[in-house]
Amino acid sequence: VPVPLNPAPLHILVALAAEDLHGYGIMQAIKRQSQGAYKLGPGTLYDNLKKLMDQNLVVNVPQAEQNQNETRRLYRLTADGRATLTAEILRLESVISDARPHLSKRRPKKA
Amino acid sequence: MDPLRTTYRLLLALHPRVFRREFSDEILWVFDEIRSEERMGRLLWDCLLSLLRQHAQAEDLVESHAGAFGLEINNSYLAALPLLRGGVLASLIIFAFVTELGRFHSVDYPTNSLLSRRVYRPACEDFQPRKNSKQSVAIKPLQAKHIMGRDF
Repeated sequence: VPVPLNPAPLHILVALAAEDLHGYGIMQAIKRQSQGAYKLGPGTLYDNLKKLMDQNLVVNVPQAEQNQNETRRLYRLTADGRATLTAEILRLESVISDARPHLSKRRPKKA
Repeated sequence: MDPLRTTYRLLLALHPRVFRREFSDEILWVFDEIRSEERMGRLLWDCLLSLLRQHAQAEDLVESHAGAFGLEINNSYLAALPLLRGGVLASLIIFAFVTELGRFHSVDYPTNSLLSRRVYRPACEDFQPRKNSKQSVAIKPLQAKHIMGRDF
């Protein structure tokens, strides 16, 4: 059973699923994803990036692969990271499909 | 010198060395990018939380490494370290709140707030130009605009 991800690492993994990004790019992507509802501070962002890198879910893009004009460090999702994200999305989908039928049900009236 | 940036750098300097070496330049760059669009108190608070998390993780790491070598960390210095860190962090938290409070009252003061209406508007309304003084009459709207930040 996959362990649920906290919101911060989940948003970071989703942001990196589309493309390699630097720190500020990740923050902007998360802001777009959540339509401004979820904002990550730089401290929290790099705490979580470090944790994800320690778990080998995210890595630095090698300097040779980066654009010459890009001086900032880019981050990339690994295969393990993508697998973790996929498992989390499937888990969330099952939660949603379980919850949806109950949303429309009315509470039973008290006798 | 920017005191808020200096405070932020100070907080970053208190992070564990490994984290600082790897990320502090980047964090400072992101701070510079977003500081105009974020509340400074929120950024300082976020950095403080990061500081706590990183030190907690670093202590776990030290203990696990020491345990791996069969060492016990029980000397008085290490026992007092959390207290020292707690004192430093508490001071920083108070400083962050005071800084944010000062910023709220000095720079981003809402000109149409209740406090503004109660404190500044009576001062403007009480202003009575001297009769037959063209200079005083000319000053009144200028003063009001300067104090309230808008025309009357």
